[in-house]
Amino acid sequence: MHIKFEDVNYTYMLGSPFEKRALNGVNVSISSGSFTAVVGSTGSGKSTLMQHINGLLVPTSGQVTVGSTILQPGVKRKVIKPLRKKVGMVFQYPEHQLFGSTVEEDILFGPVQHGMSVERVKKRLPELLNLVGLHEDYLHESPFQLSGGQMRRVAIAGVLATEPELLILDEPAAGLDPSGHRALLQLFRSWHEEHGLTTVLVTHDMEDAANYADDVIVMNEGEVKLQGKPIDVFREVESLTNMNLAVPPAVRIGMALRRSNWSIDVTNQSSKQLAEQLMTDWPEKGGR
Amino acid sequence: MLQNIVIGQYVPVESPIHRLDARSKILAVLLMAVVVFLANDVMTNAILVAFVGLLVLLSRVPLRFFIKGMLPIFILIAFTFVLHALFTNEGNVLFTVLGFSIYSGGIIQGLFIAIRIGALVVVASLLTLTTSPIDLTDGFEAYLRPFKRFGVPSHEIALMMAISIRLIPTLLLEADRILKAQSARGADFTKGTLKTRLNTMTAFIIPLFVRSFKRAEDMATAMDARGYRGGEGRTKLRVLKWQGKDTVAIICIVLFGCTLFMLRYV
Repeated sequence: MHIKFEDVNYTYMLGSPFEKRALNGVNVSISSGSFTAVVGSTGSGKSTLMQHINGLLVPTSGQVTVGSTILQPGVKRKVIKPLRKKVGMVFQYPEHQLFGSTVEEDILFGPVQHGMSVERVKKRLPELLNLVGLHEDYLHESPFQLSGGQMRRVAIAGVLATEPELLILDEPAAGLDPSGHRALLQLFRSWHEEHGLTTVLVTHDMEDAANYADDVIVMNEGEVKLQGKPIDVFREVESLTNMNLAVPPAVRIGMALRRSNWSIDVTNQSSKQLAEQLMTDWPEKGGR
Repeated sequence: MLQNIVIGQYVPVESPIHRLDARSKILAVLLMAVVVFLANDVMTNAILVAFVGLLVLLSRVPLRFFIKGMLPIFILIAFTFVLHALFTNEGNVLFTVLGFSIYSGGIIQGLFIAIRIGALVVVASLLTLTTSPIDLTDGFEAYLRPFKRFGVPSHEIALMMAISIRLIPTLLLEADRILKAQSARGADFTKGTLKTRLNTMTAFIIPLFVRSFKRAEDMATAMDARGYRGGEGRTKLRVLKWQGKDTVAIICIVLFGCTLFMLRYV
């Protein structure tokens, strides 16, 4: 689903002394089928931007178009409801939303609310659970007896169970150890490719943007500052640094090597790519 | 979604009322609770409204924000007014609606009661709007301290108050997050039969409880780890200071009370 923001402004607590402008004239579009990373430091407005995509927040002024749905000030609930069926959203610390007495009940909450066929979803549950890395025996256990990481997998399965066409991920791997972090993002990337989804990943980790995204949107102080392919965005080292964002290590190392006259390809964005190139180039360049 | 709640909200602006000591403000609210009952005719009620209005203006809390936050309470007050207007049978019959005769006495009685309750609520919310939660609990603790010899755990009560007030915004934020997460999963808290709505409510309430217990536990551990052991021998970073203007404020309230008293009985 194509997403388009046109002159979107959003102000929290409008008309109170605590008024805070979070989005400032945002114009951006995310093309259908892309895996887009939205990066920015804390308070840059990236989470606010995301919540406009499924109508959790409605613009104070301007317009958001998601697929065929148009969201503008005063939009009706009956317009938003069908949109939420198509948009899956994984919040930060999704394990905090668990409530069911069994894992199965919790995962089925979304599909039931959206009026999907429960029987059909139930049949797919063991497969879904395996996919997120849990054994199907957990289906009938209480989610509150699982570990933090397992709870998060259950919550994510609960979102994937509604078979969204568009997936919004807000720092889904926050607080996980490096291998859990990698496994989770890898899961989302392969789910994205298998199901032909549009995925939006909100993160402050540039390495994740480099490793998994096709497009990068950089936000700062409620505005979209940069947008493009990861490698083009990472070239803007100076403006990224001004926005308190770090260029991924692989790009930084590539650029440093180039400055000391290594003829290295700086389009390596991930550590893995850089390592592979250095290994093949090492015999010639190493003895310099 | 849960953004417009004024209860317990402190508005940090500069004003003469903000600068007063918490103890004088608490005392002033207690005095006002007595004073409002002295107003019993058109004249005294008008003066009462003017005085409370003056206090609101003095506090420099933005009016629109104040009125928006008070709205639910004003609706409640309007309801008591209607009840009085309907059921008091004094004075002349003004008109009849739906079989109820509305008497002039009922209207006036209802209006006076509404003004009294309204004035009290406004003054009480001015206290929380102009006093930071820390100052407020320090003030309460100061008033409770004399009762310590009778076994009242004044420090612990103040601490419990401080923690509760402090956690209101956190809890609202948490509630907002959970509400959004469940809404994103398709929950609709405003529609459906009672049964389905109860079911969606559990999806909201259970996570909220789980998080609250978890937070309470973490907080207890954190306090323990920093060696917290109650109020014994504990000194304060911020010491309350009663100044000349606090005495002046209390004298103003007393004088105001005396004026109403004179107008009423003399």
